[in-house]
Amino acid sequence: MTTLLIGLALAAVGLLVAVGKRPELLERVRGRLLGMVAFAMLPGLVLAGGLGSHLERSKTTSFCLSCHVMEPYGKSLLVDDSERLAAAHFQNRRIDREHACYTCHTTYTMYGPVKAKVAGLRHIWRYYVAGYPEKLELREPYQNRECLHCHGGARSYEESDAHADDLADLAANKTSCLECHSEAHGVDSLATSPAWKERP
Amino acid sequence: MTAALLPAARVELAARLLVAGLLASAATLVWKSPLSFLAFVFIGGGLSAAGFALFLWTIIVQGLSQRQGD
Repeated sequence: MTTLLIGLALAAVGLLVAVGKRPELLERVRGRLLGMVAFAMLPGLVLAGGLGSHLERSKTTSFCLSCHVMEPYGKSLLVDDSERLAAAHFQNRRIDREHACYTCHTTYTMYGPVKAKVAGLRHIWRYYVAGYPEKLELREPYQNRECLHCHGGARSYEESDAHADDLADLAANKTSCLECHSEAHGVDSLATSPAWKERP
Repeated sequence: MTAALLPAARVELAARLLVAGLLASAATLVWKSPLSFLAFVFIGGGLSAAGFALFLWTIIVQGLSQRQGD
């Protein structure tokens, strides 16, 4: 995709240079068509494709972990402890590893992806300009909706004895999943936690 | 129709702005950094939008002046 977009951008640049040097080309009908392609269609394709490419890239785990403040959270995915939610989900492939952060930290509502992008811009602002706290915290309490997006309706969730009495409360967010599954990342104890190594 | 009717300098400037915008946008696609998105939107998108707007304005103004000439 990136190669295609760069190719289209270079093609547009070539046409724009040609039209810029010989504006009289635009006086002919064919020249005007060329102008439309050079000034509108190709740049439009490049910008629309580029925006999509950037938005897709911003969902990747490597993108989230590219800020050093997120390093401990990246390490927490590889801790050898099945009690930790992030590690258990990542290592057991309950989530797509390429989109590990985004899968759990986006909001599964109509405008959830937009909210995630706005939050991402705020994070960039805090990271580069305004500064960030030493200990990161969620801005809002974690909603069961995000867990139930995948687990809701799953046999292992619905028929679990531990969940049997609380299914309604969990669905209504009256009881938080994190009340029992409290260790999400456990970044405070990373130094003393053994790391898991995937077999080659 | 003569070349004088076409504001060549404005078309050239519009082309230059778009070229700069497209090259900046293309560069951000290979730059792996959270800042690349901002550069794409504000530098690449801004220059490209300015170039397109100038081109559009040029052909609209030219069309209007042609009508008045008729």
